[in-house]
Amino acid sequence: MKRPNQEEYPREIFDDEELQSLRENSLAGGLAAMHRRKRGRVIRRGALAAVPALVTGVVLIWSQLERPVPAPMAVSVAPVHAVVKFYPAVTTGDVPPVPSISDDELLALFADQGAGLLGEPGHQQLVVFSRPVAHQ
Amino acid sequence: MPTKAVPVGIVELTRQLAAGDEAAFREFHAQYFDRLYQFLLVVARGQEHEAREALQETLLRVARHARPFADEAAFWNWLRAVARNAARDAGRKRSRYAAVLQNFAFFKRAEAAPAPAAEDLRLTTVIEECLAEFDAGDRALLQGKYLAGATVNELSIQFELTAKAVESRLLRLRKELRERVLKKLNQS
Repeated sequence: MKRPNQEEYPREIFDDEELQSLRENSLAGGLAAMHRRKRGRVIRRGALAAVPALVTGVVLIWSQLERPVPAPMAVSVAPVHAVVKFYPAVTTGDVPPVPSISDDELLALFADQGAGLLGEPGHQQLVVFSRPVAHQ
Repeated sequence: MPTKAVPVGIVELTRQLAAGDEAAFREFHAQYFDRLYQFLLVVARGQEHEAREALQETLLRVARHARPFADEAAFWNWLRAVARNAARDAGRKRSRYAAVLQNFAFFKRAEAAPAPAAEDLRLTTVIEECLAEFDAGDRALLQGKYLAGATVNELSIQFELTAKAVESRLLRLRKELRERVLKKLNQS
């Protein structure tokens, strides 16, 4: 009598031709999958190993390429002479005299805006704050 | 389920599997084919076709995704998870309607999932229960053949039958036991 083999117990009950066929097919399928896995691993390793060499090559080629140098720009500097001419004001009798207004009247013209006079008397300048532009 | 032989050097075996070693896969296949099938029979509730379909997918997934494990228990737990997922995915492929039922069934099963050890022992327990239903003579013959490992000649002497009669009776009893076991798994 053989030694009792507990492990064989369920196996013998369920084993049949179909299971035997599955046993063989699954082994073949698994081995093929292992083969593909191994091949993929080799390809990946090769690709990884090639990356540094590839990068180095690209950098070397890039550095040796003649890059187009931009043409030098001719810059000339010429002094700008401001020419100021003064013309005497000509008044005719037909032109009505320019009316003069006081400071208060002047500021009253810009009553709806912020306005003021800055500077020493006789050299004052009118400062008007422009209205904010209404966005449409 | 009987105690399974712990493979020697599971670290090395799984490491070689992860490396795509074909000899390692042969070793793995020899050691785990039946164990995985028995586990999947329980998962598939005695549906042999489902269990076999899932087994094939499980073995392929192991070949594609195996990784190193520190011990056998961890490896077996991983294999169980792979097998369970393969069984679920195989169920999904059948048909939309069947898949809905299948997923529901798996969901319900997952809710009441037995402890891993109990799940591993389930098939043996069911076989023992079914064996107990046979009459004493048939049970003794089955146990003599499948538990004690007796040869047909030894059994023919013991039971005072011809070798051919023993073979014929064993064939019938084995078929009957198998049907009862699958039916009981399906009902559980």
